[in-house]
Amino acid sequence: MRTYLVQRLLMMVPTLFLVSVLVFSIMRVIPGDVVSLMFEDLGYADSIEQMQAKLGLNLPFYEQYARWVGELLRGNFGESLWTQRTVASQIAQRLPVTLQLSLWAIMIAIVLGGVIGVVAAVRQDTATDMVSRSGAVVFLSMPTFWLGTLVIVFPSKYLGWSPSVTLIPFFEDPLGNAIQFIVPAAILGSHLGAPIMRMSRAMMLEVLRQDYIRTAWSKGMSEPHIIMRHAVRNAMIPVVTILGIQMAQAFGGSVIMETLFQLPGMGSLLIETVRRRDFPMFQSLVLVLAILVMVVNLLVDLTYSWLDPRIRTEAK
Amino acid sequence: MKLRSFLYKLLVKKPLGAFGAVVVFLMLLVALFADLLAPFGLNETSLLETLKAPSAEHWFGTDELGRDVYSRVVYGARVSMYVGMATIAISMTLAALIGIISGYYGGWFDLLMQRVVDAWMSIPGLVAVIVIMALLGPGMLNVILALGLSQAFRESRVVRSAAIAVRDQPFIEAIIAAGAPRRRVVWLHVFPNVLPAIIIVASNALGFIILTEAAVSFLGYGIPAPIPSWGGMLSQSGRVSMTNAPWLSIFPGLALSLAVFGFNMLGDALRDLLDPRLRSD
Amino acid sequence: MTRNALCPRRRSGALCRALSLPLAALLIALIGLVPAASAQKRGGVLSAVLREDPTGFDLLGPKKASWVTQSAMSFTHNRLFMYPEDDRREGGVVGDLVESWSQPSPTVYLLKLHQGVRFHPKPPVNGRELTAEDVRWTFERVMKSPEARLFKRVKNVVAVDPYTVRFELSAPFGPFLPNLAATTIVIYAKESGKPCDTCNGGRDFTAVNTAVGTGPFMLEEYQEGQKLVFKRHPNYFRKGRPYLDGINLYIMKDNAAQMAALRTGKVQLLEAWNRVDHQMAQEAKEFPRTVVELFPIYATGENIVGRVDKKPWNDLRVRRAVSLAIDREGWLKGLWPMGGKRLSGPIPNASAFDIPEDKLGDLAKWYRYDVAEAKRLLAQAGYPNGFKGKLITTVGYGPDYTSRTALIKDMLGRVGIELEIVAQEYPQWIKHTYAGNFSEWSLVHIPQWGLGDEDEWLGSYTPGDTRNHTHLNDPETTRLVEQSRNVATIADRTLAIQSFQRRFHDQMYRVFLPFQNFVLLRRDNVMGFVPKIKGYDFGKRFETVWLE
Repeated sequence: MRTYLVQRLLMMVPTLFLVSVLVFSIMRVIPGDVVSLMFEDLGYADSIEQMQAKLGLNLPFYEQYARWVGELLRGNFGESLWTQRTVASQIAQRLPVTLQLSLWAIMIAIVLGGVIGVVAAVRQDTATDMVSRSGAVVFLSMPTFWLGTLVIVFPSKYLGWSPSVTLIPFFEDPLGNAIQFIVPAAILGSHLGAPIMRMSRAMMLEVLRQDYIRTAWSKGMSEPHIIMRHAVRNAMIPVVTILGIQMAQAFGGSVIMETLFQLPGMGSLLIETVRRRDFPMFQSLVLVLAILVMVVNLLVDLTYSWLDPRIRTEAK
Repeated sequence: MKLRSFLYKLLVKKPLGAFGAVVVFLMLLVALFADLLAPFGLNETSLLETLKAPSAEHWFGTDELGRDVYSRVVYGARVSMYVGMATIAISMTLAALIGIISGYYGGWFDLLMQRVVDAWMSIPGLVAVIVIMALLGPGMLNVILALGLSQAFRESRVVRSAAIAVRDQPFIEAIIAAGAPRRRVVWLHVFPNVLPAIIIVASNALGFIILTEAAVSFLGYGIPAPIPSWGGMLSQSGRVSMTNAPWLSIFPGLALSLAVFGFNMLGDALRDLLDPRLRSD
Repeated sequence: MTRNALCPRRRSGALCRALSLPLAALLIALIGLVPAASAQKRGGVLSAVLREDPTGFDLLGPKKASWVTQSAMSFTHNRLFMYPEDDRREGGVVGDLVESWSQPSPTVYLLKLHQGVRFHPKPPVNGRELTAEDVRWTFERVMKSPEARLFKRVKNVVAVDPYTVRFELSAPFGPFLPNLAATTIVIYAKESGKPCDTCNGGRDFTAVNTAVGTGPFMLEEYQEGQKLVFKRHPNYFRKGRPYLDGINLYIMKDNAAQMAALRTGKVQLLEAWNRVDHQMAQEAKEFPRTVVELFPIYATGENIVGRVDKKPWNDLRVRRAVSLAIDREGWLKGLWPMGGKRLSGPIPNASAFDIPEDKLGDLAKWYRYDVAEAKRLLAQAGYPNGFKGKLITTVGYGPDYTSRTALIKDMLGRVGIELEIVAQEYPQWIKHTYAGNFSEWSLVHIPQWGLGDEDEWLGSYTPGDTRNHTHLNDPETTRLVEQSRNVATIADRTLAIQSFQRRFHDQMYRVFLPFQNFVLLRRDNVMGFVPKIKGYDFGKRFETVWLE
């Protein structure tokens, strides 16, 4: 187990390097740089050059990169070109919001997807299977921004309710906070739930054909007992593996939910930084999100290998 | 599996999948014959007829410039199918290339490539698409490229594991032992066996691509006006006029959801029928 | 030439200040049955919306200040002058921090400041009095900022005594006082900035806590992407004002979310700069206790340009044909149920200098809708079958904007001008197209402009100006613009600006499109908001707002 962990951690190094190069270079290739954007329609040529020098944009590419990584390693994530706020403070403020939204969404997705998947597998090709699956897919088929808009527009018209216009901090009003998050999280979760449903259904189908389940049936055990005790447990182990990917999806989807529901998270900030070409902010934000996704993936793999001893031995 | 028995199974055992297939087929027909089906030109404005409710003349009503929504939804099918198919073509070609080489040959290429894939997949999908769009600028072709690129790496994982599974099959080992050149083996034996996996992924991905295009539209990076994409119609005038001109969002929304639903159901059925591990007989 | 400006209204200033409040109180005491609306009430917190985050709090940094920053700073700071409530009648400016002024010679201005103007009671300024030295220091920064463009002829700024500032100009400059009213020219306290060697004036005002001014409201809290919280400035120099205890400005980008919040009363005021369009206004009519108001805006409308030094825009007949191809009546009727103007340019309709369309005489004929004549002109210009080209636009101004681009394309298509729409992302648009870098056979859909003084609009038709998208270098036009700058009186300025306008309408360098009436949505208990916009004076207009 320890060697496996070390191995996995070592593999993260090149990945991290690649992400950083990718993120760093992409913002510098994008047309319409921040300097001219900052001056909007006023072209003060000498100031633009000064500005570039100040931002280090006149240095060769690799030198800019080396500087950035050097600063990162010293714990300095840089600051926004626009507001001069440090990236670290922004992340500290916004990451919890995105995490909260994503975790809520993943939880809803697991419950929704898991239950439907298992039921659909147990009743494969029956009406129950079809109704529950198509129900889940109907939700999946509607764009999240569209569902979100419905939830904002119609309750305000008929119920006199609209979502809070600012973030309700958890520590001030836990209930209000939960209500604020549950709606966007449910929308996001309904989308994340579909792959989980598919996977758990497929895994369930496979498990149900295994010999030990057949044996259990022949022993005359009750259906709920077999499904819950034997089948679900084994079927759900592989489902864990896609949670890492789902987390990345949740971070992506939160971009839209944050914009619609006035949640000041990483997603809405990321979009803003792309629009404003705020390099330092953007690179560090994406890097942090990427590290987060990698850590989740690592945790998922560790959980998986802990649940499934076969992996442990394979990965010696 | 013969085509006829396949269709029979789809129809009898997977009615939802059959429904999906019908929807997809209809969408393709609409896309192909949009010119015949649309009574009005897709960009024909009429300022005397703005925001009119559905009527005998305008079945789905008119939009903020007086354009016929029915015609635009019909043309939207062409745009969505085109974007979907083109994206799939790009992403699947890349994914197959990366996946098969990585999975079949393994070694340092696999090790390196998988790190690239890891790196890519750790950047949230929507963010990646938007950054590529910012890089390339707005435009339909660029939407296709951005979606295709962002999908390719993800899908290469599935292809890779399918390729690994095929590689370890005894018959492949036997063919190699018989002295067949490796490139031949890949093309004649590995690729055909990986194909079902590719088809399943592609069918499910199509729905996802249509949805992602809509999401990207909402964030202002989608297919630019006046090209009629469902996502664009929904996220722009459809959203603004949701209560006072609901037809602007209902019809494009229905078309979009129906297409996504169809592709998903078809994909699920194909998975059940094609994936050897799940074949129930 | 001394004018008194104690009070922004056109009444005798001293009288106004001395009498307005007691008089109002007396009136109410006398007539007990007067509807409550006539008396301003103190107290209450108003919730309104700002579409975007301010980008820092320095209007004089190396970068040009965004309109959002200007809006935010108009709450916390004062300027020397401000725009009067009715520009059409006054045609000039009224004092804000300036109590009175004189002009001993055409190039010297003496400005007398109000006494007892106090900064917000916050460290490090701690409510000290504003003096002429603050004005002098602020101008030291102005002259080293992008805003120096407004004061090219200012030679020297001297603090004569604590309440008198002398501006010396190198030559007479008509728009001098109006430019002092620009919403970027607010007076800073030096010590509230963060010391910084490389910054303009050695101080950095980017951070939130540097926003300490003399304005009617104090910035208490700023949460990015969420809200700006303003509290009443207790020592504000206009006694009794502001009436509100505070204002919460919520930062909301999404129109659907803004409208839902207005409908449920979470916000009480939505105004045009939040991209409130006529469809939304129609919808708001059925909101509970919501009032929909229309008002003219101090801006020029959207327009079509090409390069006058390149084909096809170099040919006057093509420019006129494009104008004749625009169905302005249909545009107004179809797009804007709440009405608008057929034409807004080259200076705003609301400007005192503007010649309305019905006074244009023979020149008005280029603004009718006449497809046959347009085709004839195109043929004369050598394009009997029209021409093909690009129509450049941006996705940066929202979907409504690109939708109008589609409308332009369709209308021009009807006279044979086949354009392919190229939609650019905002940064790219700003860097290339908006900076005037586009090729021949390209037309560009330019947005509306809300600038400050008329001179900024006129300047955009002179070589070297960054808004000169058409690459215009016409000696006659330049001469007319210069003439409008060199005048000493408002009457002369009016004449000069109007001859410029006639030249413009004859030459049609830009084809102005119809322009919608602007909409204000408010709850019916929000009173006293003057929805008049020149520059980005959002905060100042809340000075007189009260809640019923």
